[in-house]
Amino acid sequence: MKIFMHDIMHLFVMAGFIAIVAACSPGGVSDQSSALVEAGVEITPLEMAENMYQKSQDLGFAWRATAELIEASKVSQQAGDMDAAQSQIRRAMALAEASIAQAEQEAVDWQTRPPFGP
Amino acid sequence: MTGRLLVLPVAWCGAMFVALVGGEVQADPEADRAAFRDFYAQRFPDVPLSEHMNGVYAIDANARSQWLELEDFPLYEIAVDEGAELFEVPFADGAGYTDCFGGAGVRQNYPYFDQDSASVVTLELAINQCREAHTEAPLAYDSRDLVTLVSHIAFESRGAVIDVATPATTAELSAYSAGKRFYQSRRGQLNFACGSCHVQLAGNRLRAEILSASLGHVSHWPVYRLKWQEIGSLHKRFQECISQVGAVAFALQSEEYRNLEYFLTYMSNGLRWNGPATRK
Repeated sequence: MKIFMHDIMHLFVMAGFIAIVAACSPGGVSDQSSALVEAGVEITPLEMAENMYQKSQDLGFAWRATAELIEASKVSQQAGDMDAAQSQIRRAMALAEASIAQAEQEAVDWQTRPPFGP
Repeated sequence: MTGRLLVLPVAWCGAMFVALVGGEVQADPEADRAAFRDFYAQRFPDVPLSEHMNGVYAIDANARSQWLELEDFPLYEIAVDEGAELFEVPFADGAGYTDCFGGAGVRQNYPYFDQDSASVVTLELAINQCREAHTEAPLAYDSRDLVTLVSHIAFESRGAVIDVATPATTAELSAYSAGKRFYQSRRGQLNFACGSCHVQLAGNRLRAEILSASLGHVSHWPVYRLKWQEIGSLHKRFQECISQVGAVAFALQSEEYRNLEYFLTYMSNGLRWNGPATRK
């Protein structure tokens, strides 16, 4: 049962991530056609990346590179370099995803390390 | 069918709750401290535990000889003198730091867990609480004034024994556990915990530097760091470490860092306060 639930969770996470990456690919980053839906509200990939970064920050596990990529994507957008902006947002989302996964992993793993671990 | 759909998330939440809360080992600070000391005693059998208050200079003979030469004309001395002058400047209401602290040799009283605010009070926090109680503006946590005041207090407290009361109440244990958890958690893109360097790799080289033991990590602050070219606080060093592993640093005197300081200071109980100091 545990394994089954774990697999289902993985499928949801992967499906979400594929949807994000797919939505980032065509068109400009700020283009409404590439908007995503989060909690029933349409948001841009940039907003999605910012939300994911915020989640990692709320968990206390934010990464510097994520914030730097989000800021860099804003600069790229302003300069009209949408390819760079897209790439930066995609990387920011991947890093945010990894930092959230790190937080989830560490929720348990911190107890297993020397000199206190079993 | 609907009932079955509801059962799955509820079961998942229950499993997560058990994993995150029920599975967490009950905090036992005394046992932790014994394990911490035993670890370093075994890792560095030739180094007396008390010597770890000198950080990496307890385990790196070459760096130690350079450090001892620096101690002939300590780089933190100016900060101590500045702090001593500031300590005597009266507040607008006529009171002064002595009215809050009694005297300057009080480093050993901090950090402590304050039951009223249910949080850890550090020396920096206490200085600002003193100022605010006498209608003075609090000092910025990265200000030179605050660092020099702490330098003076640390200097006047040299030789006092680190003796943080064993966390016993639920609130104390919660702050202690939060500090311990912070210390043990891997962070940042490099996926390093504090303990990765200062427990598991203590005594090994990271590039050109030998990694120090965490025992005694808190005893000698503020520190004139050659890399900074100025004197700085323990929390500034926390920020630097967190940033170095690729994570976003927390604010100076944030709850996270105060809990970490509480945990680390408790781990160093029995060693002596020996700040301020010079470090590479």
